[in-house]
Amino acid sequence: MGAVTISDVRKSFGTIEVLHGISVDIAEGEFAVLVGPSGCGKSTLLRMIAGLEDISSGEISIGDRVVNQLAPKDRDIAMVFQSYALYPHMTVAENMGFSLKLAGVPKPERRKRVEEAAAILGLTDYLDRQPRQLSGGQRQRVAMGRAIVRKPAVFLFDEPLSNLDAKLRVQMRSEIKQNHQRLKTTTVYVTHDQIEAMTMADRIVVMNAGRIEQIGSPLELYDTPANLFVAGFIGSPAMNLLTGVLEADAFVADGGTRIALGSAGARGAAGRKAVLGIRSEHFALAPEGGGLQARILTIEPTGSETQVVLTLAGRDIVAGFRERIAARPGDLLSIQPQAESFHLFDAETGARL
Amino acid sequence: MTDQVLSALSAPGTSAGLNVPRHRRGVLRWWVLALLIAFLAFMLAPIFLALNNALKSAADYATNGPLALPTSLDFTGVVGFWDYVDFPKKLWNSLLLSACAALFGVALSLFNAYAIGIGRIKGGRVMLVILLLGIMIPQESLVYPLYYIAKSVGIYDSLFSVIIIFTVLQSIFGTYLLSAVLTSFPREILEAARVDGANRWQILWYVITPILRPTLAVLATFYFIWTWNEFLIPLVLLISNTNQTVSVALGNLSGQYVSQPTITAAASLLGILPTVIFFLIFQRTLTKGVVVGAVK
Repeated sequence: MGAVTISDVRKSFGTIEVLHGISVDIAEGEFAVLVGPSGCGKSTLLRMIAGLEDISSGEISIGDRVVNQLAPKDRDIAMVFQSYALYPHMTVAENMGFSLKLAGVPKPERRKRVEEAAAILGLTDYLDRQPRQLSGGQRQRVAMGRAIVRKPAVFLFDEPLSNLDAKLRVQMRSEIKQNHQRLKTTTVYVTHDQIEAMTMADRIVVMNAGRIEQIGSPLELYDTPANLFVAGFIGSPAMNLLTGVLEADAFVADGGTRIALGSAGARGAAGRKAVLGIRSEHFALAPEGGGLQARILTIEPTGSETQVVLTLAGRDIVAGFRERIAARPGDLLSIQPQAESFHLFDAETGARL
Repeated sequence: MTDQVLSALSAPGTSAGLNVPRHRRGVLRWWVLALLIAFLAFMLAPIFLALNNALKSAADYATNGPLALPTSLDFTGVVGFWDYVDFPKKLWNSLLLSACAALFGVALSLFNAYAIGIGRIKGGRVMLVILLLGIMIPQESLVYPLYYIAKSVGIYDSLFSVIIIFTVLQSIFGTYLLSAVLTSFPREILEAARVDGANRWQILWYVITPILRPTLAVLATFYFIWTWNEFLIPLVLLISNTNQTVSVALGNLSGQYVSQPTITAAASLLGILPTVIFFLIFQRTLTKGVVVGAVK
């Protein structure tokens, strides 16, 4: 009943097309995250699911109903906005019960459902307060409470955490996740923060410039990014990308540095210009004089690991090591990239090889 | 030069006004106070004159002049005016007219502004300009057309006609003001209401009106006072004695009761009093509402 099917949806503002044919199936109970840089169309897509934007072409279904022509209130959705959009003149209880009041739910029933939602969110003591008397995190919870009381088929979140400070954001992230595990309501969540996407999503939809770049579980995207955009977008620190040419068993970076490709070889693309992607954790320390020589720019020990910014083949790369490193900035470090974890991309199309 | 600017920026406390030595500042303050008292006296003088002369007998006025305090309290002027013009009736007419114009004017302003500011209807700006023309042109030029229309639809010489006219005229200012406020109304709150299931009417009634209530209260207060003080249009449209308003009764006075200063004074006093009382009741909403308009 709560599945969302988006098929070949397009959106134009005037003559400018901002969504170029989006198709996604979101299963019932799934937590799907739309992620991408600002302006990629993710919020527009969410607003189209909500019914706040018209659909220029294509079809959106919620459950087994096509909702293209339905008003937001008839779509069985609830939305949490970036600014929370609480009604400033209503108490917390009134804010949460407003949709029920409009739907003609009798007062005792309304009260019961508001109290249930408040209990889930830890808002029971605040029901008589006004939004301006609440902290940012509490307002955020009220916004979620407003969504929860309606027991909708789908929750829509539009960057709900971006107005919170870093610490609260981490806390609210896990609260939202816990609530999802408890309520098991289909959720579509928009964010530009890939860490939010990675930590919360069952499935991530990476968008860029009005197109879908890749759909997959967080680790699928991390381990096998379909193209250069996803490779660079997902993961923190970002994947190190080196440009160069492929040979049969090695990658020759632009500066002339040869990096052996190991057993996987050139994947049938020898002679082609390519981009080599290596995640920071896929470097090992090599014995002195062995491996690749890279000059250290900065060292950032965090205790559990040491992050080192190095110059390799004329590029700044980030490598993380479990070991503690005694070297200083300016020294040469011998490192060994792990060939079995290499990502290769076509330099022209950006597609994974 | 640049250094001066920089030092002025870095030390905001040392701007010119505060650089004056303390004792000189004290003197300056006394001058300001004296000036304000002079202004106050200037403003209150007419009210004092009205009060002073309303409460003395005609003989007292004739011997001692308008500025002397009354030798004994005498209410014949007040009672005389009250009876001559049937003041309770006039008061009721003014009250009814002003209250209706205030109430309907605010409602009309809100509807207009909702369409222009939130609904973003096509041509909203143009309509606003056309509406504003209505209050920019002098009322004298509106009087004849209004008289003509009122005559031809058969509501001439009835309070109804004046209520309609002032509802519309007053609502123009409010339409202008509220359109500006509603244009910057947070869209997400409106969208949240739509998702919550509110239709346009419910959004206006449950979300926008309560948030704007202080502003609307100010508008209503202004509308009331402005309408109360209106003279020309009521004078032209309300000819029969039973339909006239307080301000029209005041205006007619000098003609009917050839210059009885104590009665004129009593009339002015009774004319001002209701607005003063009204203002005292609503001054809190006024001061509160003036700073509103910004919606957080």
